[in-house]
Parts: sequence; C-alpha cells; structure tokens
Amino acid sequence: MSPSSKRNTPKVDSKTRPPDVRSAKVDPRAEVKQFFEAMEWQPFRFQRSAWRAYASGQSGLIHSATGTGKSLAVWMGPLMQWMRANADRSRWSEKNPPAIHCLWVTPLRALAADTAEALRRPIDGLGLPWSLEIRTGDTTASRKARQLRTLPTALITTPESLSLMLTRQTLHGPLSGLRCIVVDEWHELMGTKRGVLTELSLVRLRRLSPELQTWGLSATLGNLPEALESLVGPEGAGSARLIQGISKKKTRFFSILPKQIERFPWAGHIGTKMVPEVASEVDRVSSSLIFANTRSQTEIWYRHLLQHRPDWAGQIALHHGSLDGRVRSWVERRLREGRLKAVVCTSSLDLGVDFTAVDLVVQIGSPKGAARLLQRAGRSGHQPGAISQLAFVPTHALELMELAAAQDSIAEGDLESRPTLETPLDVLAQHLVTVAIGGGFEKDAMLHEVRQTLAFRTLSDLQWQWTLDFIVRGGATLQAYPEFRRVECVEGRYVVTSRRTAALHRMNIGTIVSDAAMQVKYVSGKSLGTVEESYISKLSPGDKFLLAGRLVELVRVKPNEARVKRASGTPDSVPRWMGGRMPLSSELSRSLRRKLEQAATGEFRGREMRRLRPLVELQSRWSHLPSVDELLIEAIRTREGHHLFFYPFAGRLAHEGLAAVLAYRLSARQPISFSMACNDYGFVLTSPTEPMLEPAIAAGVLSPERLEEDLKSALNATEMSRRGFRAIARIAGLISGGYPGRPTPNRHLQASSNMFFEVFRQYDPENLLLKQCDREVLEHQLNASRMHAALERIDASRVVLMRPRKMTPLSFGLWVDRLRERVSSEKLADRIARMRRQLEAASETLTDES
Amino acid sequence: MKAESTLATIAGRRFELLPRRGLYWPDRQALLVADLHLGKDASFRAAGMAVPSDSTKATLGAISEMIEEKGARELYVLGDLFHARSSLSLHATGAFEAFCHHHQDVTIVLIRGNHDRAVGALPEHWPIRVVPERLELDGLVMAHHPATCPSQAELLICGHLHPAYEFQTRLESTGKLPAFWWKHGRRCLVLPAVGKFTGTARIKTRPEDQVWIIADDQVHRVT
Repeated sequence: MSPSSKRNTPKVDSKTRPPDVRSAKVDPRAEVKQFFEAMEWQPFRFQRSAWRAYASGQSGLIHSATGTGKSLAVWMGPLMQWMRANADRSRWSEKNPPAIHCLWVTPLRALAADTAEALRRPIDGLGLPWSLEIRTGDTTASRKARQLRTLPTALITTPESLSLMLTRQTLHGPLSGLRCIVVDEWHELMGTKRGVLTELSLVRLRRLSPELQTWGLSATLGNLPEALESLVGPEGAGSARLIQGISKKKTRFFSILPKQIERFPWAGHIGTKMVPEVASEVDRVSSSLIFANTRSQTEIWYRHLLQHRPDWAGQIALHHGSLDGRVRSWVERRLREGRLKAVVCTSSLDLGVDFTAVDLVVQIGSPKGAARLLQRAGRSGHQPGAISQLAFVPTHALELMELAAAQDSIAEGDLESRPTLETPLDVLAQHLVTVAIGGGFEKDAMLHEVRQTLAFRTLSDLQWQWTLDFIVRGGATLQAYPEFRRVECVEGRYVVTSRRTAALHRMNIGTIVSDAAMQVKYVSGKSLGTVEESYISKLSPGDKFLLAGRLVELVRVKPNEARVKRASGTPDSVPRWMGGRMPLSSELSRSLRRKLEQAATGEFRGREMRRLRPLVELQSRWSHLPSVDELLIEAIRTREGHHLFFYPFAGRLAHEGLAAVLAYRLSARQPISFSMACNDYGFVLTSPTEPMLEPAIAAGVLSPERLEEDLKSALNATEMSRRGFRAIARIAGLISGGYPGRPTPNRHLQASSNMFFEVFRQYDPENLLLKQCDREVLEHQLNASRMHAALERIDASRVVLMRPRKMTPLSFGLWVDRLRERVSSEKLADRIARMRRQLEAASETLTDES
Repeated sequence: MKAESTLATIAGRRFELLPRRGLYWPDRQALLVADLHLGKDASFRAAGMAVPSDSTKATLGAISEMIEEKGARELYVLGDLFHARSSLSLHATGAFEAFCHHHQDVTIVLIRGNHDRAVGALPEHWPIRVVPERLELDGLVMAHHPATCPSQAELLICGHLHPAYEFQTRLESTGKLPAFWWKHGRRCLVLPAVGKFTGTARIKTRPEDQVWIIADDQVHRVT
C-alpha cells in the first residue's frame, strides 16, 4: 500500500487473503466472489447488472435510497476491468502502483475520508496494488504537489478540485489513461451550478480520454432520464444504462401530536411545546437524528431539549452548516461510533455515509417535499432487519395534512424532479478560463465540446461569442478596454499567459458563494461558527444570542469577525440565516390539494387526517374546502381593513410574486394600496378600502397573460437581482477574493457586489451576466414558471369567493405571518414618507423647509 | 422624476442638500462634493475585473448637472478625486479634462484625501488648485477626514466615510441609503460619496445627530 498520511487515507482493517492461495493468473469474477464471501456479503441483482453493464463498456446512473449498496455496484466495475487488463499477478507491485484508472467525485469534501475508507476495503480485500488518495481543499499543499507529479490509481475529489486539475496542462497525459469516473450523490449536484461545472469537466475529460466510462450514483428522483442525460451528455444517453437499486425499505411514518389539536394553526410557532413528547420518543431508541428546516430552529430546539433533559448534556449534539468545521467532524465521528443519543441538525446531515447507529429520524415541520421526507427517513434503520422510522412533529396543525399528502406521494412514486439549469454563462466563463490556463482551446472545437453537455446544448452563437468577449476583452466587442487582461487569443488559441491571472482564477474556482458570513469566535480565539453579516450588524455589544448551542454575548465586531464571550440568561435573539426557506414542492402541493378535496367529500384516510377532521370541518362550515379544480378566495373584514385571501397552493416563492402582481393589477383599476403576506398555501392582500374583486376577476386580473411584464412593474425585482448578482459575479470571475478570513489581495480592489450590480445595471444593461441574473431571479427566487403554471391552472378553474365572518383555519396562518413578511410595491420615497409619519416627529433643533 | 433637494440650516448657515450627492452653499455660490474616485473602473480592469467604463463620466456628469442647476461659481472637492495611480487611464483623465474645459468659469479646488496621496502629483496643466489638508473659508472648515471642528470655526465639512444610513421602524427597513450626516457633538457634517462606483459604510449615529437620506432623487431628513 502506498504510504499516506493518516488524514487522507485512513488504514482500515479488512480481510486479506493468505499468500499461498494466490494463483498467477487472475480471474476477476472469481476474485470478487471470494471477496464477497469473505466479507459475508451477498451481491444484489442490481449490483451484478451494473458490473455487467460496466464490463460491456457502458456508462450509466444507479439510483436508490442511501445505504443500499450503490457504491459497491459501481466500484467493482473498474476494479474488475483493471484486473482483466492486468491478469498477471506477479507483475503487481505496490511500490509502483498503476497509473490513474478511476476518479471518484463527491459533492462534499467532508465525505471524502469516509468514501476513501469504503473504497479501500475492496482494494485491500482483492489485494490490488492500487494507490488511493484524496484531493480536495483540505489536502495539504505538499501532497497536492506530489499528486501532480504522479496521480494515484484512484483519486477521490470534489467538483471544484476536479476543475482545478483541469488548469494543469501537465495532467493531460496521465488523464488520457483514465478509464472511469464516478460521480456520487448526483441528485445533489444536478440542477445546480456545481453540477453544471461537473458536466463541463466531464466532457473535457471525455475529450482527453475518449474511452472514459461515466457512472453516477443518485437517490431516486422524478426525472431520472434527464439526470442520466446531464451526466453522460445527451448524445451518450442513448447507450447508457439507468439501473435501479433496491427500492424502498420498509418505512414507518408517524406523527407526534399534541393531546389537543388547537383550533387554529399557529404559524410561526415552532412547536417547542412538543419537546417533552419528542424527548420521550428519543428516549425509546438508542440514537436519533432530529431534522429542523432552518439553522435557527436547530439552535432553539437543542436548547429546549437540554433544558428539558439536563441529563443529556454531552449526549446530544448540534450540527448545521454554520458551525465550525471541527465541531461538525466531532459530531459526525461520535454519531458513527454510536455515542450520541440525538443530533439536532439541518440538511447538513442529509448526505453522507450512513450512520448505522441511527434508529429514529424526527422531522420538525414540513420537509416541503416527498423525496426529501423519504430520503430523511432512510437515514435510520440500517441494521439488518431494521425498518426506517420517521416521527413527524407539525409546527402548525395543517402541516399534518402535508405529512398525509407526502405519504400519498411516496406510495404513488410521485417524487420531486430536480430541474436542470439552462445555459448559466457565469459557469461557462469560469470553465473557459480554466481550460485556457490548462493548455488552451480553439474556438470552434471548444464550442462543439461545450454543446455536448445538457446544460449548454442550446447555447446560441450569440451567447458563445459574448462569453468569449467577456473573458478576453471584458465586455462586448464594441467596447475596448485596453487595460483589461484575462484570456488572450494567441495564433487562434485561447490561453492565459499571466501567472497572476492563473493564480487568482485558481483561488476563485468553485466559489458558489453563500451569503456574507462572519466568523464568530470567543475572545480567547476559539471559533464557534459563522453568522450572517446582516444579523451581526443589527446587534450591539452586550446583546446575547444562541450559536452552536451556547448562549453568547457580543463583545466586539471587527471587519471579518465577531468576538463573543459566554453569557448566562436568555437570548435576545437567535441568528437567522437566509438559506433554508424552501417552498412546498409542486408535487407535494398537488397531493395536498387532492387531500383537501378528499376531505371535502367526507373522506378522512389515515391518522393525521382523522385528527384534523374537526379543524377541516370547521373550514368547511365557515368557508369552503376547495376541490382540485377550484380556486378559493376568502374576503374577510376586520378592524385592520379588508383582507383578500387567495389559496393557489403554489408554494411560498410563487405566492410572493403572485401577490405583488395581483396587487399591482388591482391598484391599476382603482385607487387603492395593499400590504401583503404569503405562505406555502396562499397569500393575503390587505387594504384600508374595499377592493372591487369580482369585476376585476371578470376583467382578467387572474390571467396568466403579461405575467412577466407585470411582475417587473410590480416587484422591486432589482433588489432581488442585486442579491443574486453577487454569486454570478464571483463565479464568472468578475470579483475575486474576500472570503471570510481571507483578505482581498489589494485593498484598492475591494468592491461590494452591490456596487458592481449598480455599475452594470446603469452602464452595461445588455450585459448577459446581468440578464442571466434576472432570469435566475425570475426562476429561482420567484419561481416564475410555477407562478405561470398556477395562473394557467386558475384560468381553467372555478373561482369560489367566500365571505366568512371571521378568520378561518386556512387564513389564520397567513394572518399571523403578515407581521413578518412584508412585500411592498410602494415607491421608496412614498415608503419613507409613510415610515416617517409612523415615527413620531421629534422636536426639531434645526429648521428645515422642504 | 424631478430631483428635489432639501434646505437646511446648519450652524447658522443655509445649505442645500442635493439628491445627486452634493452640498450647495448659496452664500458663496459654491458646490461641495466628496469622494469621486474617478477612474476606479480602470483600476479594476487593470487587475482583470471587467468593469464597464462609464461610471467615471457619469460621476462628472452628475457634478456638471449640479453646477449648472445651481449656477455654482466654485467647486470644492473634499478629497479622493481619483482612486489610485492606475486610475489615471487615458479615458479617465480625458473625461476629467473635458469636464474642466466645460466649466472654465468655475474655480476648482481639491482638498487632498488619502487616495489623492496614493495617486500622487496630478498633471501640472490641470486648472485645479490643490490644498494639502484643510481649507478654512468664512468660518467654515473643509477637509477630507472627519474631525472635531476647531474652536475658531463654526463647522467642519468633510467626506471620507461614504456614509449610509438604514432607516427603520419597528416593522420595516429601507436598507442602506447614502446620507448626509451632521455630527452634532463634533460640529462636523459628513457628505455622501458622489462617485458612481463607490461603496458605502453604515454609520452609527448619536441621538443629537441629524441624518438626511437620499432616496429616489429626493433628500429626506430622518432624524
């Protein structure tokens, strides 16, 4: 075995064969059979199918729940392939491991060590002279340099590190011998920019090694053929295989319910009333994972659990993306060793090697999608014969209906699709510079190569030319920027000659940026994690907050970090992180509407629906239960004004846009102003005077036509674009440097993304990156296609307008939420005037005349 | 939308706070601006970041408009005229020369700031007067850096901070907006950065201070 540092390639105990049994010529199938027998494993049928497919030279995608043997299904293929080509065992030398044969791409570098352990077992078990190493952001510089000189036989890496490898022309030779590339957790990468970056890297590798076989491992999705296409490219999909692993293990879903379901769903209440019940469920089993939807919720729940069961101190832990990396590793290790009673976490523990010790998964609040619910349940019950168990804790009563709907979806196999991204030019720009550094490219050949990915299949000549101009000249051909220097065209080849540019680019690669995160450290120096800058900026020294399960007090704020000390008492606030507010998926909302319809006809199947029956019947008595082809609108009058509640069930994001568009359209018909609130079920418009809704509906105020134009007029879309532009600017290399903890190379070159956004919006409005940004905002932040689909559906539906005398169960959630979500279509100046009127005018020491 | 300015009396003097981020002093027919950072886009391009070039021209254009609207006879730049040495591109210097030429009857004075020191000596033939640190006029001190107004004067006007203020009520907030900031205790008025390609810094005010935010071509007093 090649010498390796403990950190990167941990040694593993495995059963190796005694030397005297070895024969000179190797029979791969027999070897594998013996290995399996020695491990007391029985190969599954799908694993054998995968090995056969690989042996016949195919590429493919294997999909199933985690922990069902996908890794072995794919890994034995290249191992056997190598054995067939190197059947003479006497030539095997561990001192001279074979040249690179296989690349394994994992989305999270934190998973690399566990992956290495798992992949090493068969290598050792078969006695192969292979070297296996890891290459990620965590790998030391010296090891990386050694790898560049001699690549190991198998290399585990991330999409970013793979991209970085493509900047090294010296690797072209060795990579031409690459036979296999495996992409793990493809469902996580697919449809994201990192996934697109991976697609581009894959076609590049196929160019360097035409015989390369590409395999992907994925959870089950709603759009598997598309997943396959994005992995192997549209042209390769015809001859590639889609292999299903073991389908669902037995899963048991149940809810943890309060003894008395309150009449109204208390939205915003995070359900910590249920802590005692959750604690007793957790007590029943050895080890649990408790998933919450946001990082703040995990902090709150962790604290409440500890307060309820102080004896659990040291036995329960917290895990989310903003905690210090070392803390997270510690938690993962102890979980694997079975030494933790429970871990309160976010999607941070969705991926990764299975924790065999986990018996129960608790899900707090709606998981927003059936596939996610299924996947999370699958994180439990890995012992032989065990079943997966998931306990659902609703945060408001109607969420129970979501659980019932999710179970329907799962039973019908109606799982969410991961939509793919369309021509993200920022990723293309980044990749082109990568290739320009790593050997260069020719225009036409590169265009042809890029168009072989699913993401850029429809790349237009105009977009291509624009992107080339962007990386060479910094902008469109008409503008000359003499000082700009990035990629140069030398004798028909696009290359990067400046070392500084190459270094800057390498530093930037893969910066799929998260929101500005500020390090939080104790005064003594120990790091707790990160918190968003926008949160810290609102605090003053002395303010107390929860982080990493500790109560801390802000001491001082420096440019890139905040210092705290331990505090006692109660928190003044809990940090809010912007991520993690996913809307209800379309698949799930479809199921939900069907459930409502069933309830309307008196059908209450399942424990959850039966518990909800009184509440649902109340809705029916006071108002109406919409069937699938109806749109319910409730017009309710209170002291605060006139409220119009609409229930399209299109998810929170789409509702934000719909609310704004509707308000805009209604206010175009009569002088009226609205304030709005939205949730996953619908939205509410509140006005001081009564809106004339019925004639407006007759006149088409709910029409899907002109949606995009009205959206742009209605929303402060620029504000949303501004936020989105930051990520695009970083990826395309427009701005560089400035990660938390890493200083920008030159203080004079500091610029916030806001500044960039403004300068582009005003002086280069045709900039395609800006247009990409607008498109992404429209789709990802506003879910425009879903909005459109909702309006199309409404167009074909019957509108049911009710005038209940008081708040109904469906409306209550929105009613409570209205204080939190305020989407305004007012002009800034009017808004300020209104805010000033609200604040009392203090006596003035200076006169002013306006 | 027609730009609306706000009149204010500060330390006994009348001023006009212009939404294009300048301060007009009617008694002297003088326009005061700060933190232009001309040519900053060129510095970025030289480092490989593709920033479009028109922000320099647009900054000068905004100042031109203010001069013409008010009929100013004097222009005082309270520091950071150009961003860095690499900002003295052909394009940026050409734009500035055209600006000076267009306003031949206006006296232009630059009070040096930290960026000006890094930029170094400006071309000799440029029709501007450069003052090293402070300029005192009619009991009013002009400088780049904020400071307590010296006792012999009545107020100090400066730049450097690129002030921005977030106007909030209990339920909502406007986000950061560029602002004029009167620091009452120090008798110091901080001007917003007039440059189009500049960042802003959130200010922390005291109860006795005054802030005017700039929103949608209007200036609003908020404290």
